[in-house]
Amino acid sequence: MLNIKKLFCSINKTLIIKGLDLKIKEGSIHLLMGPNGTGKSTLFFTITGKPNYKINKGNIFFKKKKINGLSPYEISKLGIYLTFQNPIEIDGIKIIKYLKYLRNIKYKKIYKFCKVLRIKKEYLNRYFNLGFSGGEKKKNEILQLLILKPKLILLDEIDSGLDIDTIKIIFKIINNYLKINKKSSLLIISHNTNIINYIKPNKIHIMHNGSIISSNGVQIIKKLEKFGYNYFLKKNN
Amino acid sequence: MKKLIFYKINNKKDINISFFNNKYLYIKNKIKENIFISYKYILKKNKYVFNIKKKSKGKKPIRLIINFIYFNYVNILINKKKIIFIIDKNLNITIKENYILKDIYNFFFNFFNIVIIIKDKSKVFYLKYKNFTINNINYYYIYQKKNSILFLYDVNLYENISYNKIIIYNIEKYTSNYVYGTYILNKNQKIKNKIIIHDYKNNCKNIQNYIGIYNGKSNIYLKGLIKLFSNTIKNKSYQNYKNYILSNKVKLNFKPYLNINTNNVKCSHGFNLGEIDNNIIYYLQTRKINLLKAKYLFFLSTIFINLKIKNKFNFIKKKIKKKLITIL
Ligand SMILES: Nc1ncnc2c1ncn2[C@@H]1O[C@H](COP(=O)(O)OP(=O)(O)O)[C@@H](O)[C@H]1O
Ligand SMILES: [Mg+2]
Repeated sequence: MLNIKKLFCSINKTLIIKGLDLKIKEGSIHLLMGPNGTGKSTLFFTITGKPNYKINKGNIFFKKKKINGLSPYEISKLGIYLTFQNPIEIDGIKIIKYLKYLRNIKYKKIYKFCKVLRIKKEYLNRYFNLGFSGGEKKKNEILQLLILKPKLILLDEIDSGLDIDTIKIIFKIINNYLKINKKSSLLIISHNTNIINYIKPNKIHIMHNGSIISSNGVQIIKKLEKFGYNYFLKKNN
Repeated sequence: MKKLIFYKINNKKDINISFFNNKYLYIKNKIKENIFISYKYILKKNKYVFNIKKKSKGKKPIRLIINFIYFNYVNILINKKKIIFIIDKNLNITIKENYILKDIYNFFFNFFNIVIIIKDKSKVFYLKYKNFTINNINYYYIYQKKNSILFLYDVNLYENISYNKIIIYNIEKYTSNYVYGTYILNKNQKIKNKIIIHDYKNNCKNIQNYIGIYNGKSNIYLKGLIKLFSNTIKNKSYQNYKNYILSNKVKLNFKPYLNINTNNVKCSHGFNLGEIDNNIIYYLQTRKINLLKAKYLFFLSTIFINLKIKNKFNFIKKKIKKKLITIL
């Protein structure tokens, strides 16, 4: 589904992604981990075509179609959806009005999604993310996911700073979504090793200094918990 | 007075003052349960004085619609009028200008002087908006007495040539006024707007927030003057203009003036050229919203922030949306 080949990417002439390879098959779950500042978010922004994120070398293919150079809008139309680590706020625009711009969806359906997300109806009449708690913002990201029905989901630290109940609700929805949409795939960035209690990744990738230095099965989590990222760095050298 | 036929404006609850073809005046619902209006007409000067008074206790809000109705205008090119509202103490009033036109020539000129005197503790919401392409010269003189509050919404979408002057006199202490401007202009629209604030007494608060989105060959001249006299302490005055220029043929001119003759006051002029927030645009694009719609939402947001205070004039949001689509 997603195939990234020898990707080099820079922001303001600073090279951040340095020869990254990544392959994601249809219907699979991948977990991306790595120390702060290694370029995980940058990778997601590059995949989704953020302006000023320059691809110096390499290619990104989605369903065999080259997507580098496409606009964020064109890329999202292909079915790639990114939840932001820090979602933006749009003052003056009510969520309910905004959701109608995404897709001509029935109110009944929106209310149904709110129910599974444990969001009160009044939430929809608030201005977009304005004064929302971290958890409320993340729920808003998931609400949009349910409306847009993407094929590839990119979750950037969806679980950071959330209480245990919210984490459980969100992953229950994600798992359910993947169960219904069997061809959809998930790539998730997280710092929490216990995330494997909520989601079952087929592969765990360790990223360091702009590239993926190790890709393994779930068993790697135990090593990571015990030795930290140093273990992979040493092994790599 | 002629019989008025095509009178089907607005709902029954509102008080309606209608001017027909510059000659006839008609007031509907002159007396409400807690209010009444008396008026004087000074023919020589084409001057109307409306006295809005309280009949009983209670702060029930009143809606007042001023209708300007013109049809088959041939011989008069300039319509000049002076309208004075004297608003009694302790009232809560919404005033809306409403225009109905038929067969009007393009070179027709509207020239209004509107005077509003707001007495103690009264609250006035005033909407200044014209839903047609015509030429206007509008002067607003507002006199505020102790503890009175004014919200003035200055919306300009379609006026051809417009010359505005809004002058607020804070003649007593503890007054506050908020002017929210929304200008969305394109083509050859020409606007000259002056806001002049006079503070004579202490503890007055003046806030003006203007948002402008300009395209085409529009020509805008903005002038803001804050004048504080010697015994004004603890007064606050803020003028904030945010301007988005979408075409290099737009002409924009801004002149701020401060005339402060006292200490212990807070005043500021803010004039900036707004930029589209690319992070918002990118975020929206990752949600299958195309660039045009993303920009539209961004501007809608910036405008609506400015119009958020009470949902008094919700209909204006629809007009703004309609105009915004045409200029992006
Ligand atoms: N707009 C930017 N301009 C310059 N450098 C940036 C910009 N955004 C991120 N970076 C840098 O890119 C590196 C990777 O950042 P990021 O992708 O956010 O890391 P991660 O998500 O892995 O914690 C960091 O060193 C960061 O400082
Ligand atoms: Mg990050």
